[in-house]
This record gives sequence, structure tokens and C-alpha cells, in this order.
Amino acid sequence: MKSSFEVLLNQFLSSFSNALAVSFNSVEISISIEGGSDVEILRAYKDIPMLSIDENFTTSFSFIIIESGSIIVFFIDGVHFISVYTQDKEPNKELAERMYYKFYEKFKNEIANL
Amino acid sequence: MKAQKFFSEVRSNFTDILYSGMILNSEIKLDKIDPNLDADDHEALVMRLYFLASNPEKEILHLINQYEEEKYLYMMKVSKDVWIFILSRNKSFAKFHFYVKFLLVESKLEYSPEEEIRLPEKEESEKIASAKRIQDMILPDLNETLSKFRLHEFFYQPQDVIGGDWYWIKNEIDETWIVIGDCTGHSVEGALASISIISILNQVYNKDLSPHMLIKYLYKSLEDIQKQQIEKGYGIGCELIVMKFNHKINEMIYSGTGLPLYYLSKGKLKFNPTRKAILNTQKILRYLRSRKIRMKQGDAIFTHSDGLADQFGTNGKKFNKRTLMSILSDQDSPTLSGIIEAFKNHKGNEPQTDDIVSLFLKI
Repeated sequence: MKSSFEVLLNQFLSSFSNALAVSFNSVEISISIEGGSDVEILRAYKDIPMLSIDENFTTSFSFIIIESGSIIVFFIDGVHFISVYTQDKEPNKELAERMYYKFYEKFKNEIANL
Repeated sequence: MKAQKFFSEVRSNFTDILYSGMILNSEIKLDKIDPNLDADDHEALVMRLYFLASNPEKEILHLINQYEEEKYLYMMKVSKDVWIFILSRNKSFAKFHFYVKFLLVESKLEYSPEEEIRLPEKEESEKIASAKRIQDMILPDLNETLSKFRLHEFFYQPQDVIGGDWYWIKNEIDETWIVIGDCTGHSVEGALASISIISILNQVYNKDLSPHMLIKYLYKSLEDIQKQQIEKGYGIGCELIVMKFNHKINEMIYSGTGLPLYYLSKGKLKFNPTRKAILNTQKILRYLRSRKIRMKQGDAIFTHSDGLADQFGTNGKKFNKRTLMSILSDQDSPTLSGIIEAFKNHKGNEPQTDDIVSLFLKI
């Protein structure tokens, strides 16, 4: 049975147009949750958002543009992050922001229960 | 296209930019535009991201990092090992992205990493030349200080323009003190270490000391000064030989850590190695003693830092001490010039392995 966090993560993935994979990682919690196809790309680039965190934990977004598409990273409280992989060469920043504000509180609540 | 040209273009065209920079072969070149911004705060993040992004297993073209609400760090890969980055308050990087592309491609201002790399090197070479002048001021004039010897030959060749090998000479009424040293590190690191050691040596020197006591005082002072650094796992290391010549009675007293002493008398060669203090400083220092040699007219001594013997040649082998000994013992009247000629033939076009200092003296 899927946890409520996995359900939310999949809901996030399906709401994000062109998204192929999603993952949750954190520098504070040792739980990694993945969903969708091409998750290995997110695994391969996991260290980039991990080390994109600034010293004041104020990082909110990272966009990593690679040959095969883009990885959009949403940070929650500067230490937890949700990465989304799309095949878009230019990441849709407006969509990313909309999704961020829509799901921010939900993710924050779920993370508190992990 | 030169980095400075790029920076001035960015300055005049993008008002929202706080700073811009380039990373060339792991070296950051920063142009701080906003005078109120402490760019150092961000440099660590820039370098962290650069090292991740330049990992050959990754195929990152560019990345954007948003933080502190209104700060956006944009990094763009120009070519292998070359990245451009800006920190801006404006999150739209499209204009910048296309502008950089235009500068680098459309305008035919092809980016040449080689050309860019030469820029800092030129600046660096000027700094190194200044450092060399300072190091030269500290190293004594040999013709003046070694005039009491019948023959003196000296070879000093740092691996870079400056280095960690050094020499120190002090003339008393009937005596000459000569110290040859080899500090850890090359270039600027080595030169700074050598200057530190020479400075300590000047403080601890006393003409009434025996050579091994001078070494002990030197190491003790060095240890006291860098106690905290040693605890952190780094510090200055130095091997040296101290020779005290009494010209009145043709006597030499010497002691050393690491640097060897070759003594030539009536065609016979005696090789006196000294123990490497670096292996066990405390133990070596406890048992360190001075040795005395009564020299006769025509006798010679020769010493060198390990850079001479450790030099790799075109045959892939080291010059080594055995070669040095055979040159010294086979020739009727060996000279340092002869040794250096053999060294250069051995080295060929191979790069210099280490700093080299070498001294040949005849009384």
C-alpha cells in the first residue's frame, strides 16, 4: 500500500505536464521516494540539488539543464527537495512556480509526518 | 574573447547583475558589480556547483539556482572546463543566455580557453617575478660570502621560478657557516616555507653553537610556531645540512637531516648520508650529532638537495646518488660544472622533478 507521501508525489507528477519522473530527497531525512519512468536520471543528478543548498538554507529552486531535458528541483525549507525530470530543453519556470505554490504546504505537512 | 572584455560587456548591458564571473580550469575569475555584495559568500556555492557540473559523468549545459528569495545564480557551460556565471536579481536569464551565445558565436568572437588561460598566467608570472626578487634578496651573494674558499661552485635551480630550496651563509672572523635547505613544497608554497625557515634560522643562530644544536633549536622553534598547524595536519617541513668551516685549522663540523655530504680527499670519496628528519623528527633530533672532518688543502665537499638525484631522465630512471658518486670518484678533478653537465644530459627534455640546490667547495 502506498504511503500518503507517495500518493502526493504521484499526484504532483501527473499534474506536471511533460514530467516523466519525480523523486523526493532530503539532507535531513534519510528517506528517498521515487515515481514515474526515467528515475535513474534523477538518481544520477541527485548530488546537484543536494549541494545547491546555500549556507542559509534559502534555496527554493534549481533548474538543471542537461542534453536530454531538464531537472526542476523544488526545495522545501531549504533542506528537502523534490526533483522532476522533463524532456523540455528549456524548463517552464512559470509552471514550476505555480506547481511549487500549489503543492508547497501539502509537501510540508507530509514531510512533517515522515 | 578576453575575460575582461566579457565582464565589461556584461556590466554595461545587464543592470540587475550583482556579479559575473568565469571559471577557467577550476580557477574562478570574478567581476564584482554590486559594491555592497560580499561575493565571497557565494563563491563557495559557485565552486561547489561548478565541480559537480563539470563532472564528466554529468552532461549539464547550464543550471539556475534560486535562493534568498531574490537572488538567482545562473551558470552556463561554454566549453569543457569553462563556465560563465552571474548572480542576478532578475530571474529571466533568457536575454543573458542569448547575449552570451551572441558574444561567443554570432559575433565571431570565438572563445579561446588557451588565450584566456594565458591572461592570469601573465599576471601570475609578474607576481612570481616579484616574489623571485624578494627571495633573491634573502639568498646571500655567493662570491662575496664564499671568497675564503679556493673554489666554490653552486647550482640553484627551482622547479618553478621560485622554490623551497634555499641556502644561508654567515661569515664570522675565522669561520664560515653554510646551511643548505630543502623545504616541503615548490613554487610559492616552497618559497614561503623557505623564507620562514631562514627567518627562524636568523633568530636561533649563535656562532658558538655546534651545527646539530643549531638544527635542534631551529626545529624546536619551528615546532613551537606551527604547533596548531601540525595538529590540523599540515605544517612546514625542511631537510637541511649545516656546515661550519674553520678556515684557521681547515676543519669542518657538520650535521644534517636528509641532505647528504660527499667528502673528497686525495681522490678518495666518502659518502656521508644524513638521516631524514621528516620520518621521525623527535627520534632523529634526540640522536642528532655533529661530525668533524679535518680537511687538507685540495679536499672538497659536495652536497645537494634530493631534486638532483631524483631527477627522471629520458630513460625513465632517476639520476640517483650512485651516478653522482661515480662521477665524483671517476674523475681526477671533479667539478660541479661536470656534474651539472651530466645531469642535463640525463634530464634531456624531461620536466624538472623538484627544486635543486647543490654546492661544491674546495679548500
